[in-house]
Amino acid sequence: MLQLNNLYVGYDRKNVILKNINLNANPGEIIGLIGLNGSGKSTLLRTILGLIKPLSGDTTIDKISIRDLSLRDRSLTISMLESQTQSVFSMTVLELLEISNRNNKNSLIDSALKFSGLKGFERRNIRELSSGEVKRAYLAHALCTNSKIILLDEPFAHLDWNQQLRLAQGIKAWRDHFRTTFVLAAHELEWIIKITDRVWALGHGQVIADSIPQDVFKSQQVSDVFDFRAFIDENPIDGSQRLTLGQKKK
Amino acid sequence: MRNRSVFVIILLFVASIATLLFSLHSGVVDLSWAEIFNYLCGKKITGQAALLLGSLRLPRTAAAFFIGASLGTSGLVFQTLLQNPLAEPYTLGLSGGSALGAILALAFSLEPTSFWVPALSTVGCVSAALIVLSFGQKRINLESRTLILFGVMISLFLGAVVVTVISILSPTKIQTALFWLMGEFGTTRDPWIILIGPLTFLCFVFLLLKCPALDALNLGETRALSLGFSPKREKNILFLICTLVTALGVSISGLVGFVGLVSPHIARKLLKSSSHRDLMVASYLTGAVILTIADSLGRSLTTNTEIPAGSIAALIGTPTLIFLILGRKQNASAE
Repeated sequence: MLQLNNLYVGYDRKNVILKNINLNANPGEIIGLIGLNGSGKSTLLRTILGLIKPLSGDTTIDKISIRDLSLRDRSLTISMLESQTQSVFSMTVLELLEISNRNNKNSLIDSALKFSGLKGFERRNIRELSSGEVKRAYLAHALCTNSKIILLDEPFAHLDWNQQLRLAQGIKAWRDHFRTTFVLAAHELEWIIKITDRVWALGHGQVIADSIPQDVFKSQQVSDVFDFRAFIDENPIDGSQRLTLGQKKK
Repeated sequence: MRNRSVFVIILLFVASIATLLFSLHSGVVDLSWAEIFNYLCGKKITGQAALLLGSLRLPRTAAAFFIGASLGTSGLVFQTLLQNPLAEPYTLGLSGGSALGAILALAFSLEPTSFWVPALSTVGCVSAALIVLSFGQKRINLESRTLILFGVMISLFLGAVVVTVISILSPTKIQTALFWLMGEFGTTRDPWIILIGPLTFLCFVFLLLKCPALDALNLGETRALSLGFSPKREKNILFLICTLVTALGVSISGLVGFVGLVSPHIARKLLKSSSHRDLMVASYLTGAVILTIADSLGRSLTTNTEIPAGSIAALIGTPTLIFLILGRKQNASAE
């Protein structure tokens, strides 16, 4: 349903950050977006949202260009949450959710609180929460937008293992329930392999891999760009996919 | 609307009515409450009281009320747009622009002063905002921190020009300039409020309709766009409306400080809410109350002269703000 056709992104023709991007995402898919620092992950997400105008190419949703959608329709289709999103002014968790819950559906707020593990936090002020709870509160806020596609930039950054687990479980549970498409840009590859259905890998301003996680991590191009060797086996503790990374032998 | 918000807003509404009456009653000449009520109820009263109320105190009270209110609301909008608790209506160089306009009118002895000073100050105010905005548009995509930095630079620069021009003015003009810079009521410009008051009220209604956009912009551009608002367009419209409101106020009262800075903070403190619709109404009323009280005190504390409302507002405003900041430290949940 989401399709990126021949996207070129940059400041001008001489400073192209992303070139020839052709990707697609299906309803209910969780997609991992990986790339080294500065590889253009955030730029790509912002372009998909429409915050950055591409030099050429187009983003379509169900074959309709997002440029032809009204701002409101666009926001019902696609929304994004950046990792550093936080207002200077204080608010309660419930107020934060009410901003994105535009149809005043209490059931949606309920689900968002449930899936982000924040039941009972409604009246708490965001400033009183730990950084992990703040992240989950903003995730709940993003979920409440109820867009068909939700782009998350660095959702796992600065969280401890337990908070990362809860966040990952929340995203998965929401997808299973609402069939929302997620695109997660992240450096936490051990989570990417656990929860994503597909991975887009960026390198040198281009897509270097677009496949199931196992294949992406083992691909020669990804291994070259990231400068690692990947080994995947079963996690003896919980039976999930375990990714082990090591330095390449010279 | 939450119960607390309803309660606070009713309270502020009652406070503003009380302040308005207090303001009509304050002044060198003592009027009885009966005379004031009779006048307000449309009954005929004669002589000095009618003249005093009709042509002096009522316009003056209305001017202080509406200008305080518009400073309060634009303060709130600027703080949210710039994501800075120190922002106020004058932050983007608006004060510098209007001051320069007013001082130039005095320096070139444009007559009549009572028209040219406010006219040029309004022009200065709007031009300063346009310069800052067009810079912001082209170079920095209206990014808050750089925008505020640029606004402060423009303010400082224009401030320096103003001081330079003041130093060559004659003593009587310097006094006019000073009073204008500190904010004053009780001039021949007060009756203009009959036009400007409703205009600023219309802007306030417009801003109220824009509250969902402000709620979204409060979370940054990405979220605003994700919620269906074009960040650039909304920011531009909101900046321009607030500039207009501020410029209209400045044309009557000159530069009134602190009301725009403090009112939104007091509103936040009282409401304990982040909903812009509630905050907007509360900031409107808080600003109105503060400036009306400041002006009433300014003309009743001393008998032979008046203290400018702007300086009284600052005298009340500064300790209030400090109190709010100290209160915030003791209790991490504030603001």
